[in-house]
Amino acid sequence: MAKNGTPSPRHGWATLLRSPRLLLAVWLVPVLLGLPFVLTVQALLAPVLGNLPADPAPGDLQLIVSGTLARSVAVLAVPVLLAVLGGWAWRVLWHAGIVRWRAWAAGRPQRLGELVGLGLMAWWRYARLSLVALVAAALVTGGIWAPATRLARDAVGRLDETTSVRIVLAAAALTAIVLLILWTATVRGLWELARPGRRSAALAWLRGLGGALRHPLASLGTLLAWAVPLLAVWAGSLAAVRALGPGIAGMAVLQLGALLTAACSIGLVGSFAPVTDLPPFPAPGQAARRTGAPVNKPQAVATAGETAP
Amino acid sequence: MQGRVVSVLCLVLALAAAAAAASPVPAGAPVTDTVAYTIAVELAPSTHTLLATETIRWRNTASVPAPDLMFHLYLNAFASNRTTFMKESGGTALRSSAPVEDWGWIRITRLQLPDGTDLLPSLAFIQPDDGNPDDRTVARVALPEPVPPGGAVEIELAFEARLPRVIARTGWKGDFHMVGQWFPKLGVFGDGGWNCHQFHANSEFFSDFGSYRVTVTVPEGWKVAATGVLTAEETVEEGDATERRVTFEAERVHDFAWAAAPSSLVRIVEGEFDPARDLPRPWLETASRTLGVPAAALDLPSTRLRLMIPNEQAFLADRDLRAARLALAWYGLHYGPYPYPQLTIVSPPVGAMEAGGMEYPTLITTGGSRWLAFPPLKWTPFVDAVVVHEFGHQYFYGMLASNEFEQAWLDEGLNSYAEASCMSAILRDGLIPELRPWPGDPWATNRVGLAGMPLPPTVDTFSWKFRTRHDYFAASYNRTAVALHTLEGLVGPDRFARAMREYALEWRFRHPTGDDFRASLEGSIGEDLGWFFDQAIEGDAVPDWAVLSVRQRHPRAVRGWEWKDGAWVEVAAEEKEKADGEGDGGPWTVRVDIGRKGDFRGPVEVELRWDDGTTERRRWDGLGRWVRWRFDGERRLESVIVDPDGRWALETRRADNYWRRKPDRGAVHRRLWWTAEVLRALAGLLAPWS
Ligand SMILES: [Zn+2]
Repeated sequence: MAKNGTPSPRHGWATLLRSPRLLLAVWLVPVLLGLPFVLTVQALLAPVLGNLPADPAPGDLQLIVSGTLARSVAVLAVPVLLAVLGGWAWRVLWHAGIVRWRAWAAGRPQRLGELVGLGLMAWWRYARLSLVALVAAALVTGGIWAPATRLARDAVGRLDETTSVRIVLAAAALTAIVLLILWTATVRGLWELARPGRRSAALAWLRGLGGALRHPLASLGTLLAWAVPLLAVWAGSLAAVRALGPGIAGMAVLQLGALLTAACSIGLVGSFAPVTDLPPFPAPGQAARRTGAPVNKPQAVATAGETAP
Repeated sequence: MQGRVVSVLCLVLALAAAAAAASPVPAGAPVTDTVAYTIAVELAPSTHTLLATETIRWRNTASVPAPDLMFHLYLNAFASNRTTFMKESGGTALRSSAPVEDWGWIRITRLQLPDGTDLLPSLAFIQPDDGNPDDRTVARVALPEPVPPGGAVEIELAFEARLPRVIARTGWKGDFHMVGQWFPKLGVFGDGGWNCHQFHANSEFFSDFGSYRVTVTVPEGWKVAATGVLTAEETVEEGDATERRVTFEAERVHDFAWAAAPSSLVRIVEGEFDPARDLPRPWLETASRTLGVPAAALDLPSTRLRLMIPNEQAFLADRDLRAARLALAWYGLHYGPYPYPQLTIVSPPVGAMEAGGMEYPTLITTGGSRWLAFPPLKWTPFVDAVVVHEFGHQYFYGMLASNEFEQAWLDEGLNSYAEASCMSAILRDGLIPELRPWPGDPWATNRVGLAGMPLPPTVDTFSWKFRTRHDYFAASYNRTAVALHTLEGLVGPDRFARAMREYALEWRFRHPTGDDFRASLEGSIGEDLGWFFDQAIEGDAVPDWAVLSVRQRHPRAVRGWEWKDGAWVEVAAEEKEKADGEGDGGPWTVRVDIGRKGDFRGPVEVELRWDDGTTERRRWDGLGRWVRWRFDGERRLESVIVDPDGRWALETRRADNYWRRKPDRGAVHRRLWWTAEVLRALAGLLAPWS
């Protein structure tokens, strides 16, 4: 099999530094996708909340908000689905785009339109990869929790609560570890799917899983190097808004947090580029960048219409 | 297990005392010795069966003779899927497919008078509520001679029972046994005959006060928790087995329950409520001020606490006991001192949760979980609120003892009101450190529960006659509690607190009805409350007020013709323009329409806030559908709020109670900015798989 490079956060940095426009898009597109939800909530609640004083009668705020939202579940479902499914589709798109661009035109300055175009061409293939990953995660989670809940319930039936708690905690820990491995497998799979001639998303994901299992420390370490700061930034920005209040300063912190989490997301995907045989990024300012010529052999890259060798 | 009947314990009767008591009791007087039960029972844990003998001495406190006796045989509710209880509960509690050992029953094997007259042949099952022939939860036995008013009768019986797998707060799970509703128990005899309802899915209980002396035999090494106090304990050799025999006695109670389990499963933790240490000082000061009673007169006695808790949940013992102490303090201050020497708490193992959250006289069951050791579950008030609620039943179920079959709200509703008041005070004063992060508000929870009802239920309905089980709970618990909170708001918290305390003290041991409760409140408050009770409790009215419209205009200029000096004169042009000027300056003609969209009529306050910074409050009697107020002057309204203090807690459609001239456009963002972040987190869950 082809030799595998070792993923490293360093590659993520390199990708990130070369993708300022993508960073803006990864930051702003989810904001736009969330806008219908924000506007719907605003439209539903502005007429009622706008009339409230700063300190309404005790309990009224909960009653009014919960009552209005409960009556509007169907109306709210549409923007929620748009944000969740739209966010998924967009992530598939830019994941595909960045992998393709890295493989196709790594030497050239990044152009967002080109990246999106490459992503669109391979979108369905990468969507299949995502569905494979989702099914795998669901199967594994179900595979852990079906027996775990049965065992835990049996233990409760024997009035042995300690054992039931241990079973649930063990299942939770196992689920967390396994899902982290599957996440790594999925990110590796993104790059596996860029290999020349690879069209099967399932096969790419399985190869990603194989790689994750063969190089668990490097894979998980790289993943966590980005995922932990991502979660920390998100939680930190929420805590900051709680402290600052939802004014301009609070919203600025929130958006800065969103920008940083977008950066972490790009860094995370980019870190796994060495999984394929792609050459490393040339140092900034090298010839390829100036000439704008593709450093990589285009024919070595699988594209949407290509047949397997 | 051999079918050995435990030897009968002799009931020593003071015949002279009985003769002295042989006169009917004046109507409404507290009676705490109508009945005396002496029971000896042995538990066979492997088969979950009970073998017992029972002596009942009953006194006729009515003014008519009693020709017969009626017994509740509650355990027969779990005999099959055809009983009234099982049919009404839809079989969800005990599936029809359950193995035969999960079902339970009770059978009287001997029934006689002290002179040996056998009454068993005349024992017959009856179904006074629904005629269901498969229901054997009520039995009637004819007496050879009627018991005259003031007279007494003593009967001796033996019975065997099989406990069901834990259901409706009684039964077994593994080695844990919660033994409630377990013995043949008399109904309540009054001038209208016996009040002895079948066991229904939605109902609780009703019985006379009396004394209990119960001896329980369990295997050695087992723990027993029971109503009353432990008065005797011995170890007996029974063949090659060693058994533990414990006796509990209780006075002035109307039921007896017990729990038993091996020490490998549970432990007993002893504690105490010491008012000098455990009564929060601010509560005492506030209560003294609110109730108008000197602090010294609010003295509470100390109470022994006895907690049976699973060994695995021993870490929760302190929390259970602390909640019990706070409940003893709150209820003691507001509804009178807890008059019994001990409170027993049983926290069933997690597999036997069906036994949790129940009240018996001087014994309550709660429920915990090992998960409560971990945040965020640790920060939820599950355990504390259940302890407070079940303890509160010692008042409304235990001492006031209304007929729960027919007026469940007098117990569950009044107690839910008291529980929400107590939990609000605990949360406000931060008296349970684990609950400090808890954002919930007990009143809001009750009101949100009511807001979702498709139809408003009528509170004062027989328990089994509600349309759905949910209606029973919403009416008996939430609607009653919130209605009382509303009344508290309308008459004022101090007057209401005094009235509730007077009711709780005046009606102790007297089985008050809903009419008694209303009359007691009216007497204390000094107002006719019929209008409120008729709509909130006897009726299903729902309050809903609204600001219908607010119109603020400059006064119209005169147009057309003016009558001047006996002739019509055209209004001058400059006159037309003068008053039509734009701008914020006056004068203004203001018109406010307030409406009553609901069918609940009653007085409501309206707050008018003017642009000159002044605020005024107006009261509308709320009898008509709407009222219109006009104001002419230099100022206009900034805001209008109907019921600005939220006194009408029963009103759950509150959005239209508020009107502002300049709506606050940033309100949604300021209050709900975090919902977009929740959505982002939701979307982020898919991130690892794309
Ligand atoms: Zn209750």
